[in-house]
Amino acid sequence: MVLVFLSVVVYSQKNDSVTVRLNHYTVTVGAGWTHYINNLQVGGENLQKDFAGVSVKFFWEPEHRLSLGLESGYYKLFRAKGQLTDNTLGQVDRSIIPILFLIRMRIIENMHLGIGTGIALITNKIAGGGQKVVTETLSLSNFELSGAYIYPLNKHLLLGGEVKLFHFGNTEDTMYSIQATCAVRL
Amino acid sequence: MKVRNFYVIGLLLLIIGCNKESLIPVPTSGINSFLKETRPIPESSKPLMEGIYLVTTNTTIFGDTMVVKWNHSGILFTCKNGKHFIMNSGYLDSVIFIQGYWRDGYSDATGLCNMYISGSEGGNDLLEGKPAPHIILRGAYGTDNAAPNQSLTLQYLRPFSNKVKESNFYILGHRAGGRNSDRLPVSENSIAMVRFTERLGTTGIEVDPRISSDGVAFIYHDPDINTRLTQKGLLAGDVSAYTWLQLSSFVKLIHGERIPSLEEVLTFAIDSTELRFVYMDMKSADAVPVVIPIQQRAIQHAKDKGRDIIIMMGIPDIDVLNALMAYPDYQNVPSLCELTVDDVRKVNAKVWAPRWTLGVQNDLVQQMHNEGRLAVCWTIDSPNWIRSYLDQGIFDGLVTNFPYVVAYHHYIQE
Repeated sequence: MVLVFLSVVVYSQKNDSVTVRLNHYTVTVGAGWTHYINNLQVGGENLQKDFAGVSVKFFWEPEHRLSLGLESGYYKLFRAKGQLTDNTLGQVDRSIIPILFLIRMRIIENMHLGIGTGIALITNKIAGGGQKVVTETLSLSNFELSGAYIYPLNKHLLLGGEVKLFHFGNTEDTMYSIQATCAVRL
Repeated sequence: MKVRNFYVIGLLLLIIGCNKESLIPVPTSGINSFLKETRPIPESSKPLMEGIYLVTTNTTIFGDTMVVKWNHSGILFTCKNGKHFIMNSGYLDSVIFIQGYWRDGYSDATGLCNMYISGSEGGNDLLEGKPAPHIILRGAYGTDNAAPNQSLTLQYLRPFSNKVKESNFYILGHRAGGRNSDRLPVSENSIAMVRFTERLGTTGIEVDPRISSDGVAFIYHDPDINTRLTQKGLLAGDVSAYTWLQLSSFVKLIHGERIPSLEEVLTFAIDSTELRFVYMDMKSADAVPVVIPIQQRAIQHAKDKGRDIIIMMGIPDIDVLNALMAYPDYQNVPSLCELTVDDVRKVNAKVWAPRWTLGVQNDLVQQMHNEGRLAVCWTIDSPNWIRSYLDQGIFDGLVTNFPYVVAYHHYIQE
């Protein structure tokens, strides 16, 4: 991750020779599949790890390779069922709303690599035995790595796909997501 | 060197520095342990072995002297620099065998240790229950799990002084006896830690009571469920938001133990240890009315069992103080107040517990003694400060994360 970061910083200083663009902004929405990388030490046996996730991004794209942006979204990490008592099942759901600052760089035409860091709101829900408990935790050290292919349909509309890896520091959860994206250039 | 290289090195160091500290494995002799062939040391022999020993080999590592002290589960050798030996023993014929491991409390260093006292060097007398003025402990220590190969010899110097024997000094282990950050083999605030802590030299414990959403008191230090204290699991967030059933079913402490209820901890401390002091450092004011009946039942249980143990409700802040004062007959609740001496008097706390950074405060401690109260100081870890507080202070006990260091400086006093 460090090497990727350094490569991004160093490489981004070069002039963009592929196209000459003006300063502009884009709004991107994405939706797709998410997968939780199960590193639970307790209760990880009956875990549902695959869900749909959505994201929204806002980017400032200057006339350089480097773009800066903000990303948020909603991802369910896992759903687990476990035995509370001999007769009672408990169900646990964990979901995340990240708010990340992103640095993205165009590597070759239409191909982008990005990294991000920021905060995330982690919601844990447990139900069972007549009890429902919801806790919310603010995670301050979170990271994202992403790779995206973005194809411009016209001057304002771009379609593409993105692969993202997230790590949320507070709970040490890691997940990845593959999403279809649609961007509007403002 | 290019600036870029500095960035790379700096970032790598940052990443390495952020890695969680790993456990220090406890060295074990495994099948090579010879203690299983031996018989238990008679109780009458144990106090005769206790005392101050001269280190006659490897003094640069372990210092000139060691304190040897029996505890509920075994025998502790402790040095002034934080190195300590957690040992078990047995005898065969007239030879006393002592086997276990040593650790440095201030680093990762650890290793196996095998010692013995031959019949002619004290074994015969000790096993017959007679004082042996010339005990020599011979043996070796090693590194990690390697067979001990470095010579170690201890020569009996003197018994504990009368001052030490007559004192009722409390060595209070923090977080039920030891912290996770010291990479002990059991989790902080667990039953396993209460069982283990006497091996480190403690004579009392500090625990951290909270209550679950359905009103069960349990011990757990942090306000949230996190991977510093627990194995990564299904629950996250505010630990007190969960019911006791949920916490019991879904949370395991870092070494796999369950979170214990306060009642379990007190019962265990009374029934299964020789601990003489439990300091309940209340983590929430809401827990006060829940904890008081548990405390009363535990005190009664200790009385019924003839156990000499003090069980105190800690008052760390004004919220807990007010919650206690809202309780009927609060002046008769045995409490330990960390606030001012005026607050101590207001709630009739039996113990005053100032933080160590305020100094030895001998005049105020003496006032507490004159009023029939105890004074203990928290949480003091540096060997130099520990020695200084024992030499210059008149506290009745210290809360510490390094009980073996306090034990050394306490027991070695003339």
